[in-house]
Amino acid sequence: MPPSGGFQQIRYKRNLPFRGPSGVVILAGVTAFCGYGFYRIGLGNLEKRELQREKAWSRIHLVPLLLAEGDRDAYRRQHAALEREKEIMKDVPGWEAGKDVYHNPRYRPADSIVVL
Amino acid sequence: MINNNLILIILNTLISLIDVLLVLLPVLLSVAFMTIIERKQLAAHQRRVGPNTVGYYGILQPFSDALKLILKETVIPSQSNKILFYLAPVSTLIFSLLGWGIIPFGQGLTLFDFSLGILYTLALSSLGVYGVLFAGWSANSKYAFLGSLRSTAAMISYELILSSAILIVILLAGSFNFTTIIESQEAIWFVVPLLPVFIFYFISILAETSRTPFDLQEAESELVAGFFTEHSSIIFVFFFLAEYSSIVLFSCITAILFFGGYNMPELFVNNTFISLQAVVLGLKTCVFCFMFVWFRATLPRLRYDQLIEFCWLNLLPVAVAFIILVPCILVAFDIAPY
Amino acid sequence: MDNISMLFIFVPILSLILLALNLLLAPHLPYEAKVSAYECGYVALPGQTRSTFQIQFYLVAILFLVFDLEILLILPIAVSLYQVGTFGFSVAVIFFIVLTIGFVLEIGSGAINISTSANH
Repeated sequence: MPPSGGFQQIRYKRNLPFRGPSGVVILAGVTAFCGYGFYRIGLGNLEKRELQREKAWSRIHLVPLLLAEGDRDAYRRQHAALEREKEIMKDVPGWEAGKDVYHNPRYRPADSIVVL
Repeated sequence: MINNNLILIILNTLISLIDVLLVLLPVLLSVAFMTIIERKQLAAHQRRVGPNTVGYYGILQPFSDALKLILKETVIPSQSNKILFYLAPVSTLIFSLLGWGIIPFGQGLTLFDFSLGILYTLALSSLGVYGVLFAGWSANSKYAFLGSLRSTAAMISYELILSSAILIVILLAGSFNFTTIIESQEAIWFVVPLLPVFIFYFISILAETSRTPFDLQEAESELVAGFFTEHSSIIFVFFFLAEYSSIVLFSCITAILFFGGYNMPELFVNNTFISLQAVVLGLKTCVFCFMFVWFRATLPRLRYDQLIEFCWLNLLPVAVAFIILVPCILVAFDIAPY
Repeated sequence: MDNISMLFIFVPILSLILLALNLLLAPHLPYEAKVSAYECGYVALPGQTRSTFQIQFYLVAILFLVFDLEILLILPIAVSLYQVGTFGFSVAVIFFIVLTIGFVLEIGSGAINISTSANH
């Protein structure tokens, strides 16, 4: 006869040890991890692009200033060269200081400047 | 005037010699200590003591080993090709030491800030194969020959995976220059977006340095010592130095490519003039050196056909898939590096 | 002289110094048994060591050549992805599709099938 309340339940459930998270969980985890990484990389690259753009525009805005500075410097040096020429050639009769060697009255910027 | 120029040239040469020595001597020391670290750590994994007699805590063991090997007789097999027999270890050592020329140890702290640094590294790691080939062929011994064949095939197969992984890193950084790669990791370390890539990169550098579980060239039960069976004394030291130098070098490159190199700004910002960036890089390198030995202590050796087929049939398709996936993400979200 | 050329000069000199140290300090007493090729348990037969080897090693080397070239050809796109944009990237994808077809063909023809003789 069976005992009162029936037999004990047969324990057919397998007691396997937990072998880590399943493949889907790992895949989802790695994807989320990498997704976060790419998000941060994207922010960083956009920041880098912004810095690059800022640098380019700051150079572009600096160009007129630098050009003007260069022109001023070249003009000063040209005048100084003219003065020196007058001083050196003052004994030569008929010498016209600063006269264009090509006999052309049109203004040309100096081909070279003397740095003294 | 000529005298002055001569003095200047000599001074410049001296300064660059000192620079080179400042890199090479610590590298050689770290390579020497890498050997003792490996033996001590393997001993710890296996509950042994390891070398503990020479010097305090066995710390002078590598120097005694080197001294002993320098004092040993070089046995040259009578049938060998003498020139190649010497050239192989010398070239292996040279190519693995030259790789240190472009490693940035800190901001601007590098021997050569090469704009194509990654290509330089890849070229040197390819040239390393020649030493192995020459050694196996010139020794004129069956064991050395088979060892070099196996080693060569494994190294060139895994070099594909290595260069694909590095290509993906370049895609994210947008430059071949090591310094630029490190600086572009200020947003986040590349290991976070490229975790799967990092895994197969690490597998490939294990194979590239012929470490367990890919050390088929040194399968002791079949091939005595692989391609350097016939090499003894100092030329054996060269192979040994080259192997450990490339382990440390690849650990360093791993730290640079995936773990932000010398960057760890929150921890080591200080107002003094002492730069701790090199220390940061060194600590990261140590972690990967540890992992190399850890893998050796843990994993069993693969069979040779498994080794090659794992590379070509499993790793290579995954690598190519990632080469397509990563630029897809970069182009789709318009976040390609400028 | 810049640092990298000094490195290129110094490293070979370092290895030559080590070689010379060995030459100076080590004894050199060869005899026939010592200088013969290594063999396990019996006397090595001369002239039998340059043996033939499996074709698979050669095939792996040739495949390596193709795939390494492929990766090297992709390198320029990797550094100029922003500049070439979607168009350049789609060209690269077409390149990869062609290569993948070739790779599948290689696998199918058993070029990478390094197997032990027991499997045949």
